Amino acid sequence: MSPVTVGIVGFVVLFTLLALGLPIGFGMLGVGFAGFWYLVSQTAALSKIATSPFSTVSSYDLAVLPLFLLMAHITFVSGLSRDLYNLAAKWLGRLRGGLAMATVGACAGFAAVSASSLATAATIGQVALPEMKKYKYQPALSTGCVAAGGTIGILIPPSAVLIMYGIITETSIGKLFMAGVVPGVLEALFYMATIYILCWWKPSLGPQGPSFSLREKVAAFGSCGEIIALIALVLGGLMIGWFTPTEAGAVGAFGAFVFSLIRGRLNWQKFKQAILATMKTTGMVYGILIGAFVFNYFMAVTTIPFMLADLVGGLPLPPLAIMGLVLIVYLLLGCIMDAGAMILLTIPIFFPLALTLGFDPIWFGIIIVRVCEMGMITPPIGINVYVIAGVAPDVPMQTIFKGIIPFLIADLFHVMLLLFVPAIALFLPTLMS
Amino acid sequence: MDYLANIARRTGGVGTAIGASFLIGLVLLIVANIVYRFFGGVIAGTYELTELMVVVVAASALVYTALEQGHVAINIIVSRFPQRARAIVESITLAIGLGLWALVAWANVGLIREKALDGEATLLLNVPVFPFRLFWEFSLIILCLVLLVYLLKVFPRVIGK
Repeated sequence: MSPVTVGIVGFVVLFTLLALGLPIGFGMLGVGFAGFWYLVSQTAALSKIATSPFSTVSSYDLAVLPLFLLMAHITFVSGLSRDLYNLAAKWLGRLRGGLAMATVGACAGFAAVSASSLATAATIGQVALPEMKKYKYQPALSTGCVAAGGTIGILIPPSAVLIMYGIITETSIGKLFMAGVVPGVLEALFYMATIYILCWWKPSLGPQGPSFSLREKVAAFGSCGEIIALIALVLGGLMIGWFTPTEAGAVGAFGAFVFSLIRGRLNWQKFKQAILATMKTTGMVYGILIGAFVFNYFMAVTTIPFMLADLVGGLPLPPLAIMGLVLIVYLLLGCIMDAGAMILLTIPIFFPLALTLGFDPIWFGIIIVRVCEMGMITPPIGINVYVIAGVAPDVPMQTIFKGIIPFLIADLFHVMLLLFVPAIALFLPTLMS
Repeated sequence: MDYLANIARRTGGVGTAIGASFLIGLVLLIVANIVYRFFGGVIAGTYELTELMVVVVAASALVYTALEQGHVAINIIVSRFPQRARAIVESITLAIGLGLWALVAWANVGLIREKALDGEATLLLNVPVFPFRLFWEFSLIILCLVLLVYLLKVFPRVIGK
C-alpha cells in the first residue's frame, strides 16, 4: 500500500475506534503507532512511543496548561462567577433582555479566567438561569444565551484549545492569546446585539429587570476589583513581555489563590476540590496530546498533508473559498467531536494547507477555534447544550436548541467578519513586545 | 479483583497527592523567580526544574483521570447499544487502551536504562533526570493497572452476569 492509502486507512480505523468509545488520545496513539510501524519500521515505532510521550509530559511550554487550569478552578470554587454576573446585571439588567445580555457579559468576563467553554457555561448558568427565571425570561432565550455565551470560554484567553493549537503548530501561545481577545469581545457584543434585536421584536422574551442607582453600579466593581486586576496583570504582563505564557499561568494561579484567600472565599475543602479538578482536566488534555504527537509523526510519513496542500492549493479557487470549505469541515466535525481533540486530529492535515494558501498561522488558529465554538452548540452533540440541560433540567433539550438558533446566525456573521477582516484577530499580537 | 482495585486506588491516590504537591511547588517556584527577577536576580534553573516538575504533575494527572474515567471519548453511538453489546464494546476499548499503555511502559523501560547509563542530567543544575523517568514509568504501570481493574469490572456484564 502507498503511504497515502495507509494514511486514509489509518483515519478510517481511527474514526471507527473513536465511534466505539475508545478515548480520543488512546485512539490517536494506537493508530499513530501502528501506522508508523507499517510505514517506517517496528524499531522506529517503538522508539517513538518511548520518547514522544515523555517529551510531551516534560515540555516547559505545556506546563502552561495545568497552571492556567488551576487559576480557572480556584476562581470557580471561590464563587467569582456570582460577582461577575452581579456586576453585569447591575449595569445591563434594566434593559429589555438585559439579564440575558448580562449573562453573555459575565460569560466573557469568566472566560478571561477560565480555559474552558464547558466550565464557563456551567458556572454562569448556575448563577444566571435562576435570576432570568425569576424575571420571567422565556426558557429558550435564557438557556440559549448561556449555552452560546459559554463558548466564548475557549476564545478569550486563557484557552486550553489555543494552547493545544500553539503547541502542536509551534505558534506563539502568547500571540494566540492576544489574538483571541478582540474576536472574543466582539463575539460577546454580537450575542448582546442578537438579544437586543430579539427582545425589541418580541419583548416578552426578556422583560426588563431591576434598576440600580449609579452608586450601586459603581460599587459592584468593588466586588470584582481584584479579579479584574488579576486579568489585567496576566494579559497585560503577557502583552508587555513581562511573562512567558507559562509564567502568566503561574501568576494567575497564585493571584487567584491569594485573592480568594483574602476575601475568605477559599478553605481547605474548596482548595482540594480545585486541585483535584485541575488534575483531572490536566490528565484529559495530556492524554489527547500524547496521542496527537504520535499521530502527527504518522501523518507526516503518510505525506497526506503535503499532498493535500499541493492538490487543494492548485484548485482554481480563491484561497478564501478554500478556507470556507475547510471551515465547513470543522463545523461538521464540531457537531460530533470535542474542540481540542478535533483540532489536534485535523491540524496535521489543514495547517500545512493554510500556510500554503498564505494564511497567517495565528489568524488560522483563531478562526478554527471560532468555528469549533459553533460546533459546541450545534446538534447532535452540542456539548454546551447538554451542560445547560444539566443545569436547567426543567427545560426540554429541543427548547434549548431552539434558543440557540439566533446565536448560531450571529456566529455566522461573526465568522464571516473574521474571515474577511483578519486584522480583528491580528491587531493585538502586532503590538506585543 | 477487589485487591487489585484497592492497590490501583491507593497508589493512584498517593500519586495524585504527589502530583498536586508538585503543581503547587511549580506555581511557587515560577512566581518566586518572577519576583526575584523584578529585583534584578534570577533563580537559576527555573526552566529545567519546571520541565522536571511538570513530568510528575502530568504523569499523576493521567492516572487520576483514568481513575475518574475522565479521558475524553465519544459515547453517543455506544450509549444507544443494548447493555450487553455496550459491555462487549467497552471491554474491547479498555483492552486496546490497556495494551497500548502497556506497550508504552514496556518501550520506556529500555529508554530509562539507556538514559540512566548515560548519566542523563539537566544542563544547568545537573539534576539527574532518572527519578523523573522512573516516576513516569511507575505512573504508566499504575495507569495499566487502573485500566485492567475497569476491564475486570466490565467482564461479568460481558458474559451476561
